[in-house]
Amino acid sequence: MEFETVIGLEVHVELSTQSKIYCTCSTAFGAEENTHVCPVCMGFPGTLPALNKQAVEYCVKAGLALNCKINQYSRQDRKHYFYPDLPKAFQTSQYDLPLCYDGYVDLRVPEGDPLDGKVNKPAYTKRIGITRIHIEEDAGKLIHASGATRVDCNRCGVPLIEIVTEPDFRTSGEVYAFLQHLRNVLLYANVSNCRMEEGSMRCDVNLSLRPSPDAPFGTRTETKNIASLSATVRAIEYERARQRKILEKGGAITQDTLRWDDERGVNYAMRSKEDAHDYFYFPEPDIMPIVIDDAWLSSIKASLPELPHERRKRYTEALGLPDYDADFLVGEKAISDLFDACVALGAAPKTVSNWLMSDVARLCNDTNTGFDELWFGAKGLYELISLVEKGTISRTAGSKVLEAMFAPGERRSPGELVSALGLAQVSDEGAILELCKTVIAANEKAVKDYRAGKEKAMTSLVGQVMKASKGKANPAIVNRLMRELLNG
Amino acid sequence: MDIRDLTVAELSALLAEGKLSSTEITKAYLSAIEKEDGFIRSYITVTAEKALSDAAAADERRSRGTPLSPLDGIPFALKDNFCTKGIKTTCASRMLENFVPPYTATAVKKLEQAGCVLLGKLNMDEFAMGSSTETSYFFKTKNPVDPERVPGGSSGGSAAAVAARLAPFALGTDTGGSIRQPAAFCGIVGMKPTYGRVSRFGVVAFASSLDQVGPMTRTVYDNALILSVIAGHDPMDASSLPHPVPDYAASAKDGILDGMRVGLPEELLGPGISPAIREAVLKAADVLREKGAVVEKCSLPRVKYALPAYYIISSAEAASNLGRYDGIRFGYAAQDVESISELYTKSRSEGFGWEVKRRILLGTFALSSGYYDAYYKRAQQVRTLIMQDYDNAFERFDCLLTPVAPVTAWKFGEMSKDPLEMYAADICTVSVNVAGLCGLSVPCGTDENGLPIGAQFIAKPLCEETLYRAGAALYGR
Amino acid sequence: MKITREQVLHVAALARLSLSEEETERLQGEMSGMIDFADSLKELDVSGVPPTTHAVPVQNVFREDGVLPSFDRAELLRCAPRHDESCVLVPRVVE
Repeated sequence: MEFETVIGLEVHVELSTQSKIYCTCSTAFGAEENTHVCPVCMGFPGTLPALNKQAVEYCVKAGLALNCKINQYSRQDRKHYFYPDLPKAFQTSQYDLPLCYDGYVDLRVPEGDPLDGKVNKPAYTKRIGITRIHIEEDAGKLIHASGATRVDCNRCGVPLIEIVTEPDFRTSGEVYAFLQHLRNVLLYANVSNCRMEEGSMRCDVNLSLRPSPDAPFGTRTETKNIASLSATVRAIEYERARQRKILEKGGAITQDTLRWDDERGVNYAMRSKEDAHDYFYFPEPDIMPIVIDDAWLSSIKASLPELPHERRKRYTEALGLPDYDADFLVGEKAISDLFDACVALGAAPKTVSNWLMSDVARLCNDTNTGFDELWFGAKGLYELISLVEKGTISRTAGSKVLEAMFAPGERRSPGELVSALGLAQVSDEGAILELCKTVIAANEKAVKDYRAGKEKAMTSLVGQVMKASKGKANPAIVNRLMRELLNG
Repeated sequence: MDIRDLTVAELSALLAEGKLSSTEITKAYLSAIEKEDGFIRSYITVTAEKALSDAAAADERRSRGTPLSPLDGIPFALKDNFCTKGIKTTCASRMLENFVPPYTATAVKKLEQAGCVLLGKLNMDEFAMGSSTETSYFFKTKNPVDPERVPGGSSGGSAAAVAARLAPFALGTDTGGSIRQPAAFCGIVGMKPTYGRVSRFGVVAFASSLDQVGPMTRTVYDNALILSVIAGHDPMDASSLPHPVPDYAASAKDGILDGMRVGLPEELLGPGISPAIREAVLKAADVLREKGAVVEKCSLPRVKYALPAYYIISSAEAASNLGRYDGIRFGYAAQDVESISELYTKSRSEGFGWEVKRRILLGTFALSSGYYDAYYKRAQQVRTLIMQDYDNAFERFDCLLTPVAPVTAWKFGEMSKDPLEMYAADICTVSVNVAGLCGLSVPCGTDENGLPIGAQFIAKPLCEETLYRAGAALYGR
Repeated sequence: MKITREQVLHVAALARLSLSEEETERLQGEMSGMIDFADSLKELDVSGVPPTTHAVPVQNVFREDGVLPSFDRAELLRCAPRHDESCVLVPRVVE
């Protein structure tokens, strides 16, 4: 039997504000248990919330970056349930007036298996609907010990945005591409650090199957506890297969909440949160309505940096870069920022792009350095590129210099390194002319072959001049002078 | 001169003149509490040691000529739902029987910063739910005027303490009448300020959109003095109003009403009100006329619906606010539980009293899916209509005059069987909370049994000054 | 509106309250009475009337994003019925 898989996502993203959403405790990750808490975020009697303005702005920013409409009159609501990680027994969230709604992402979906480790070319574009984005507070952490469970409230009250998508996904590849894109957009918008391994981005998957695209939606299950992009793919594939088996046997899917166990590669139904369907939503009386006038909305719009798809357009249309380069550059804000900075200093776009895609990417990867963590920055890179373009050093020498710049503790400029490593190219035409004459004199056969039309012989002759000059001769000049000598 | 007979204003003057010390005043009160409160039972906790040390500090400041405020060194007491750092705050519930908060409510901080001396924490209905202080987990408080009768509620301990001269003044909270009604039952002055006028931070929440903090005093003038200190914006309470705090005491002085237009809503003076009370309120209207007011009949056509609306809204918000009592981070925790589920259910079932449970269940029902629109949402819509009725009345009138309650203090055990009967006694007060207005309760006579009757003045938001002017004119002090 | 025994038990479970048979019966009567009382609200025409969600017409009350020192952990844990030196403890939760 054939089935179409229908997937919708609920992605929770922690906003990178300094303080929590309703109190002044720090949101910094990794603190010792219960050291970022106060009576407000622990829900003590008599405490009241004070809404962090930055959280509201970050949510709107995220909404704008995802093409959402913004509700200029918005409100918070209480969502009730009992669980030890939820101090007030309600989560202050948003129900019927979320800050953002009705958005979309135009996704470029690569062909192939998202987990095959290759950088695959985009095969098609698809629009994924964003139903809504709203702000809410995070719950605490439960740590299971023997005989008891320990409650750490550090995370209680960390501001979250919940991004709900339309059930527009049909493959795990699309979901993977979307999460990468989402991550990237939110990083560009600078509203979160989106680190799934730290829990600042969490994805719940709603999945159902139906016999054909025209059939009504099937019963869906919700899978939680997915801690990485690749785990998302695995969780989807597992659940798809599980539901398929049941349906093929003629059984029915129950609307379960499932927990994904990535280590064992299985999911299982969660026992907690029964009656979770009645959350008794009502408007939060302790938080006043949020009214975003046109002026405020404009200023938030203005604070958004150029987003990935906008930069991509500029790179391909205005700068004439090929798709492949553009995709690479916008893949990470840090790369794109570095690229823009170098071009702004005067470097040629394609040249910078080539350097970034090859040497810089490789060295960053090998040394585990971010593109925004390079001590020499755009200025240093530009200096190096200029040295190569001017002919002061060869391209090969340039690679060597860059590698040296990545050495731990190295702080010498490209120019200084060229001198120190003796990599300056010889461009003195007189000297090169002499070397050419010497090589010509010693290679009668090659000379004869070249004059007979064998282009390969030129390569050999040039190679010999390079060898004689210990690699320092400017190859372009060698080539030109050699041809002049032999042709003339 | 009995120290305990002095008003806050008089104490302030004598302290400033050096004729009395804070230690003398505090000792007088502590001694009275020791002798008499065993009978009245208004205090849950007496903070004698702290009071004496704070009084000594106040005297020290006075002797150096650096008092913190005109109220420096004056003792007071708090309803036991105001969190006080390091001092038990029980809400008269088993659930918080041993709760010692590590923080202090803002309104209390303001009094501390003014130099006031805390005598102790006062009895109340459990979690402020009730009209007689009978639902307190610990004990019942007696009405000092007639000890066989209730002092009213939920700020019954506060009213009784002030009426019995066991504190010069007290703070209470009012969600549906809980300051004004006990003030009327015990013959003292109680003010429910405009919603948001006084910070709610640190006051254990009952119904978030209705709760308000207010002073309970012997005179209108004292009341105004205290409100000036505790009112004002608080960044910790988003519902607190940003408006500046006027000099309320100035309004409580002159007693001239110069054409103030006072309305008498006929719906609140109808057959449901006892004849003695109606007569007393109409007599009060005459006094106001003598002082220059223009008093006429008016109508609040839908005011009776404020009562069911109030009970739905307050129960729903209470059910929500009381979800946090689960035996985990603070409060009562059931013993010998084997699962988290058992911990929740046993702690809550054993920790809460009957009235609290009943309201939680009613509130949960009103919010549940399928019933939300018919009950909670509808109640919030009726709220809008009640506000409209008041808006219309305030077009023609500066303030309204009504009884505080349809009955005077009842005898212990006389009420209670049918909850609706007790709830119905809130008819005159709840609409003020529902509409976010301010209301002042002022003694205006006694009934045939000598029980105090209270007259209620109601004004538009942020018009407490109007209330103080009218109240002072009626009560004379 | 008459409240059934099942409804009382259902709502009690939602609120994490356990009731004895006697209590359930008593509450059934009391709640029915209170809901009947609340049903009087149906006498009013509320079509087109916006619900009042906040008693004061205040909006946009915000706090600037700044960190202040958190509370002393020991002071807060001291309030908890069960705790170790860094966490509040509850019976083992099975997920």
